[in-house]
Parts: sequence; structure tokens; C-alpha cells
Amino acid sequence: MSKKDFILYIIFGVFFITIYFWSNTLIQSAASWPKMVSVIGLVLSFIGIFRYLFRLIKKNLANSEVYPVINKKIVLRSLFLIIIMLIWIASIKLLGFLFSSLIAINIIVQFFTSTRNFKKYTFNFCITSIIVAGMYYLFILLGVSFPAGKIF
Amino acid sequence: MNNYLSLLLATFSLFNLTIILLGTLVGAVVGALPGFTATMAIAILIPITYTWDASAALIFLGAIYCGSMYGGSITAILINTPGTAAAAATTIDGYALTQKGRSQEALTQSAVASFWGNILSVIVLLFFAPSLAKWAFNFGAQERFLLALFGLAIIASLSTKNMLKGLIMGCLGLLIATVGMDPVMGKSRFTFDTTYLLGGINLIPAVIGLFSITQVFTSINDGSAAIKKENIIKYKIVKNSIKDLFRYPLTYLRSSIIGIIIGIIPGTGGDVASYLSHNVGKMFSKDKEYGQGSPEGVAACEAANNAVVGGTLIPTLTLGIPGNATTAILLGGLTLHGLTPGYALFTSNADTVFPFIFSLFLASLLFLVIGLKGARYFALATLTPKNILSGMVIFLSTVGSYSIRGNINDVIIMLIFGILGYVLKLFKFSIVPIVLGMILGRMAEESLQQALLLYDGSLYGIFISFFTRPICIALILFIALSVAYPIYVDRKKKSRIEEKS
Repeated sequence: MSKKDFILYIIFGVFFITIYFWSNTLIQSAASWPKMVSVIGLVLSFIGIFRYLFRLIKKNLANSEVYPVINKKIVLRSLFLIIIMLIWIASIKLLGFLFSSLIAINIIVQFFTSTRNFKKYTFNFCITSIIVAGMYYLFILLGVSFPAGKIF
Repeated sequence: MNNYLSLLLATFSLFNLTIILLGTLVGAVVGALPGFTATMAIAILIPITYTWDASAALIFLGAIYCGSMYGGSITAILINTPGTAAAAATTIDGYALTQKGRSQEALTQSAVASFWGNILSVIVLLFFAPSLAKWAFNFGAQERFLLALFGLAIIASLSTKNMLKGLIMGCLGLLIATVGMDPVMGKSRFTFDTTYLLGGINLIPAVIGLFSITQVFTSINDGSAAIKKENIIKYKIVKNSIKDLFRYPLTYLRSSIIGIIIGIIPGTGGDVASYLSHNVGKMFSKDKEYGQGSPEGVAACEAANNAVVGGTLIPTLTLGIPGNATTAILLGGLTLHGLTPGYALFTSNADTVFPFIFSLFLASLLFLVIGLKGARYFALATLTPKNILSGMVIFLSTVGSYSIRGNINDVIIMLIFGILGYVLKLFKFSIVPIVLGMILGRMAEESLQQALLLYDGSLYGIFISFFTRPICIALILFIALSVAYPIYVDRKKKSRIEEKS
């Protein structure tokens, strides 16, 4: 158990307390189950917190879990992906599902490519466009209707 | 006997064989597409069958149902994106095998186990349907509540490394399942006053987000998702043999029985069955890799979720009680063609029902052939460059989440759960308990509330009633065993390591 675990147990504890008090504002039948679950969750979080404190007192934190390093690169790459997906979702109403998907997926595929040269970019673009368009029309064939955009 | 033979021969008409092949293929494709369920495919394709005779219509719809149950495992194994909720448990061992370069082995076992699960459940449907349907009536609110707890007990075996984290994730899943309207009074809770959340958080986008989007984040940020090319190429030369069909006979049988029982109980489904079966399988398996990349784990999940097909058809055909949404639509198809469910269906409408049941055998055989012959080629999908695969997974996940209800908010839910899954994964929290909590939360709450109504709100009364009902006693024993056994095995393993060191 590490310090990160300790902080997370506190966050979960606060979350379960919030749910418990939120449940109190509901009627009896709607509140009983979430209250029951949040109490169990709270007890479990406290066990986690006390276990850390107990080990801290005994200075026995040898069994600490090794976490992957969360560096700037990971955060930036993840944020890039989230932002592209959010822009994609937002642009569907303007560009239509197919066109916005083609742009978004192509950006994602090109951004995360390992080799960067014109040949690779062209290959990625062709493959991605064919698969995206193919899957889109397959779903259309299966009866799914996608939102149309103002432009396309 | 002669009657059965003539009905069997009627199944083998050219038209019937064509629609079985078509239905199985459509089902396998639909099952493999995340978010596109068999229920949706059957609902869309029912109008095609309007002009067909009742028997052909049922055969076609049944083949789709069978094919989709198998198809869900393909993407679960290859890209960690379960095509159906029932295939979510398959990702545990299936995707781990893919990462080890053994995807063909996983796909083969998935096809074989699906075949056995389906065959055994159809045999039960054929011979024991009416008597089993009566037995299912013994499952009251208490039994259903304990069944949900039994399902949740899987968390213990899935989180032996850190049970506390697993249990907290289980609670989180249970709380996510409470979003929407409460099952007794229909009052809204945790909806932030939005109409979208009134129906609760849809399981499929959440599961897609937790599994596939989390995987994409992992894949773009480190090399763990990369599959060694040489492993797949090496495995390509391994040919399927007849032995593959009988590799885990006890697992096929045990998991099929679990799937059939779960299928008979209305309100449950393939997702519950596959997790339960995976948990029970862990108690019996001698494979040390079970849960971390074992073909037996894949077999346990797939045999169970495919056995649900026959199981759910038992109350549907004999009592007119659909076991799940898919059989509810099938029931609609049945009544559209002027058929009434019940015992009479097996006597006066035998010429319709028996060819349908026999066709399920053929559908099983077909997806076995597709699975065995195609496994080698499906496995090649894992050789796709990581960036293209990530892009495709994002696109498929988005389309899959959107197509369920045609609601863009489902895509946002998928993204939120994807981010949540990735953050939790970074802090070594397991995602599976959240999914389990979400699947079983509603069932646990509903049955507990029903039981509370029966005992005037007394929890003590419910507790005492557990020990007066034989099925409850059996379930309590199973729960105790499934919690205690993994702890015992883990302790034993640790003490052995300590002794050695």
C-alpha cells in the first residue's frame, strides 16, 4: 500500500459519504439500497485508510505497489485523445456523422503513428477511410440511422 | 419417433438451411459489433419474416440469436471490446491470451465451448422444457437476491491481489446501477434533473467505455497492448485437431449447466451466467494461468453464455415468460405468426416448434465451423498497426454506443467511463468489479425490495427466510465457498512462497 492508495481511499470515502447524504434527501424506498451500499463502501474505505496509518506507524510499507510513472507525455497524449473525441462529438451536428468521423479517426491514427513519412501517412489515410466508411455503411445496412449534419 | 424424424427432415429443406446459414452469419457479425445486440438485429429483421411460415421465421430469428452469442466473443478476445455484455467476462482470459500471442487458441476454445453450451442447452430444451419451467417458479425474491450476491462474490476471486480495492469497485458499480428511477416507487435519483439519466446509465456504452476506451488509452500511452508479431505467426502453423473439441469436457458441461439454470430464471442473462461460470471454473481449474490468460477461462464463459440461449427459451416457449429482451422479441415474433406459448405449442404446433429447436443444433454446428476455420484469420486482426487498431476501436465503440438508442449522450457516457477506467487502471484498480456491480445491482435491489415488501420491511424476517428455503441454503453455501476458496488458495500460495524463501 502506498501514499497514492491512501489518498484514493480518502477520495472514495468522501464519495461514499456524499452519496449517503444525497440518499437522505430521497424517499425511503429510493434511498435504502444506495444508503446500504454507500455505508459498506465507506467502511471499506476506512479499512483502507486505517491499514495505511497502521503500517505507517509500524513503518512497514515494504509491500508498496509499484505504479506506472504518470509523466507529462502520458497526460498530454490522453488529453489530446479526449479533446479530439469531444470535438468529434460536438462537430457531428455540423459536419454529419460520416464526415466528422473520417476527420477525427484520421487525426487520431496519424497522430499516434510510429513512422512518420508521406508514404505512411497516405497508407494510414486510405486504410482508415476505407474501414470507417465500410463500417458506417454496414451499420446503415443494419438499420441504424446516424445524425445528418448541416453541411453534409 | 417417426414424427420426430419427419420434423427433423423438414428442418433440412434447402430454404431452411439457407436461412440458418444467413441467420448465423448475421448473428455472428452483429454479435461482434460492439453495441449492436441480437435484440436489435431480431427487431429489425422480424418484418422480413412476415411473409414466411412461422417455422421458417422462428428458425431465422433463432439462428441470429445463437450466432450473436458466439460473435460477441470475437472482438472481446481480439481487441478487448466485448461485442455483447455477455462477452464481457470473456475479455478476462481471452484478451490476456491475445496479449500472449495465443488469440487463435482463445478463438478456437470460444467456438468449441459456444458449440457445446448451445448443444447441451438445446438438448435440455428439447427433452426437459416443461418440467424445468415449473421448477423455475421456485425462484422467488430471496433466491434472486442471493443469486445476485453469488454473482458479486466473484469479486473475491477476481481481486485476490487486493480484495479491498475490488470490493470498493464493486460498491461503485452497485451505486452506478442506482442512477435512474428506483424500482419500487419509480422516483428519480442521482439524475441531476436530466431526463437522459431517468432510464439509468445504459450498460453497453459504459462497458464499451470501461473495456475498449480504457484499452485505447493504455495502448497509446505504453507498449503493453502491443502483441508480439512472431507469436502470432508462430501460432499460425498450429492446426486445429479433433482434440480441441474435447479439451475441457467438464468445463463445458459444468458451465453449460450454469448457463441453462441462469437462462431459465427470468431477468438474468448471458452476462450473469458467464461471470458466475468463470468464478465456479476457478474453483475447479488446475490451470495456474486461469484468470490471467487461460483457454479454460474462455471456455467457461462462452459455454455458459451460449447455454443461456436454450435456457431462456424454456420459460419463453412453455410459459410465455421471456427470460431476457431478445426472447421477448422472439416471443413477439411467435405471436405475430399466430402461435401461443404453452405446453400446447409442443403438441398441436409441434411442426413449427421442433424444426426450430432442431435448427438451433445446425446453427451451433455452423458457428463451430466458422469459428474453427476463421480463428486463424480473425487472429491476424491483432497484427494491425497499433495506431490504426486504436482508431478503429474508437470508431467502433462510438458507433456501437450511439446505435443502441440513437442518442449522442450514450457516446459521452462511453467516453466518461473510458476515462474513469483508465484512471482507475493507472491506480491498479480492477474494472471488472464495476461491471459486475452494474449488471447485478439492479437485480439485487429489485429482489431485496420485493422481499422487504413480503416481510413488512423486516431485514431480519428475510434473513430467517433464507434458511427455510432449500435453494437459498444452497446459494448461501456457494457464496461462502466462492469467497473463502480464493482466499484459502491465495494464503496457501503465499505460505508456500514464504516457506521457499
